[in-house]
Amino acid sequence: MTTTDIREHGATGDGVTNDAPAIQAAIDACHAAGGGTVVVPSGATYLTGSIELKSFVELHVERGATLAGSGVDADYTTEIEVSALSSGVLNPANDHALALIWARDAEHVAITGAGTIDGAGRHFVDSDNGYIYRCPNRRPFTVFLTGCTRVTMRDVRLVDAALWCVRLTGCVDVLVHSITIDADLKYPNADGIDLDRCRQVRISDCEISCGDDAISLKTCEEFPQYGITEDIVITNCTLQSTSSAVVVGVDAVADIRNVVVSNCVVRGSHRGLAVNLGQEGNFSNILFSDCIVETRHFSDDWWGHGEPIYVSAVPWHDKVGKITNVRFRNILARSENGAYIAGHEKGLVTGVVLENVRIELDRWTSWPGGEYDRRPFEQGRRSTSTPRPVCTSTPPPT
Amino acid sequence: MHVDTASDVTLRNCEVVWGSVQDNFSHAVEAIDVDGLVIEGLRGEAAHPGLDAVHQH
Repeated sequence: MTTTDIREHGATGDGVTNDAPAIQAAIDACHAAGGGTVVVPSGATYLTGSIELKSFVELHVERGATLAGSGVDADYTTEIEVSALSSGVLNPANDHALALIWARDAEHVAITGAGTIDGAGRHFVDSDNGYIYRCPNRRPFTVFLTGCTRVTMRDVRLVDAALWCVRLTGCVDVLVHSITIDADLKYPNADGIDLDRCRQVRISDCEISCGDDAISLKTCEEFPQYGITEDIVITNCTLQSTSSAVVVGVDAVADIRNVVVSNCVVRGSHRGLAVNLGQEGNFSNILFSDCIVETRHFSDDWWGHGEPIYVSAVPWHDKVGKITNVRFRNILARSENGAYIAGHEKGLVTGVVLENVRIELDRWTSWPGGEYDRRPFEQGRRSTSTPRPVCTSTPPPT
Repeated sequence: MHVDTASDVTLRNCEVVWGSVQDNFSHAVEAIDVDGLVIEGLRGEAAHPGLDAVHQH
C-alpha cells in the first residue's frame, strides 16, 4: 500500500501558502499508483483551497495537523450550483457555492485521522446580527462528496464550517464514525452532516455542535440522477444545534425512507427530533428511539421554537408529499414547548406513534413562547387554544 | 402534545410534566381534526385547574 506525505509533493505547512497544488499532486500520485494513504503530517497547519479526492485514496490528517480552508475565494477551484441557499429551488441568478474537499463518482474514498479540518467560516461573514451572521452565497462546503461509493469518514475534527460541513450527495455504503463537528452556533446554513440522496449510511459515535441542523436527511433538487435517500442509521451521537438536532427534510423533492435514529442526546437546541416535509417527496418508516432531548426557545432568525418532537407536512412552495409511519419510543424530553404533529390537510400525516415519551415542559429562557414554528410554510399564522403555530416572513436559514 | 390534521395517531404510555406553570401552557394533549387517535396510559394533567388533560376538537 502506498503512503504519501504531502510534504514530498511540496506542501509547506507554513499556514500562509496555498498548499492545494501540493496536496492535489499527492492525491493524484496515490491514485495513479492504485491507491493508498495521503498523509497530512502533524505539527503544522496546511492552508488549502479546493482539493479533489480520487478513488482508493484515504486522506489521513494526523493528530496535531490542521488542514485549513483558505479565506480567499480564488483558492476555491470547485464551485457548484446548489438549491441550499435559495429555498430548496435552483436559482441560476444565485452565486454558486464552493467546496473545500470534493470528490465526484469516486469509490473507496476515506477521510481519517484525529487532526483538524478547518472550514474557514470566519472568513465568509459579512455581518453579525446578534444571534445570526449574514454571509454571502459564495462560501465553501467543508466536505462535499457526490456519487461516491464505499465512503469512510473517521475520527476527524471539523471546525468552523462556512456552509453544510459534511455534504454527501448520491453516496452509497457510507460509514461516518467518531467524528467531531464544532461550528459557530451563529453561523447560518452551517449544518453538521447532510445526507442527500444517499443510501446505506451509518453515522455513529459523533459529537456535533453547529448553527444549523446537526444532522439532516434530504433529497435536493440538484443531482436527481441519484434517486432517493434510504436505509440510514444514526446512533450514539451527542448533538447541539441552533436549529434542529436531527431532521428528516425539509428539502425533499424525492422520497426518504427507512431511517433509524437511536441512542442520541440532544442539548441546548431550538428543535430536537424532527420530520419536516416541505416539498413533493414522501417520507416513510422513520424510527426515533432511546433519546434524551433538551430544547428551548431562541431567536426566530432560526427555524424551530423549542419543540422536542416535530412532525409536519406543509408546502414550502406549491406542493407537499405525505408522511407515513413515524415512531418515537423511549424519549425523555425537557423543553420549553410541546411536541407538534400536524399536516397541512387530511391524509398528509398518517401513522404516528409516541410510546414511552416523557415531556417536562418548563421555561428557563426569556425568549417569547406560546407558538410553534411551521416554517418553511409561508402562508401565515394558524391559531389554536394551545401554543400557536407561527410563521414569519423572515428569509429563513435552512 | 399538539396533534393537528393527522390520522392514525397513537400516544401510548406517554407522560406530560409541568416544570413550571406558564400562562400559555395548557392541556397535556390537544388534538384537532385527528382521525384514529388512540391514547393509552397517559400520565399527566393540564397545566391549569379546570382544563381537561386531553382536549379533542
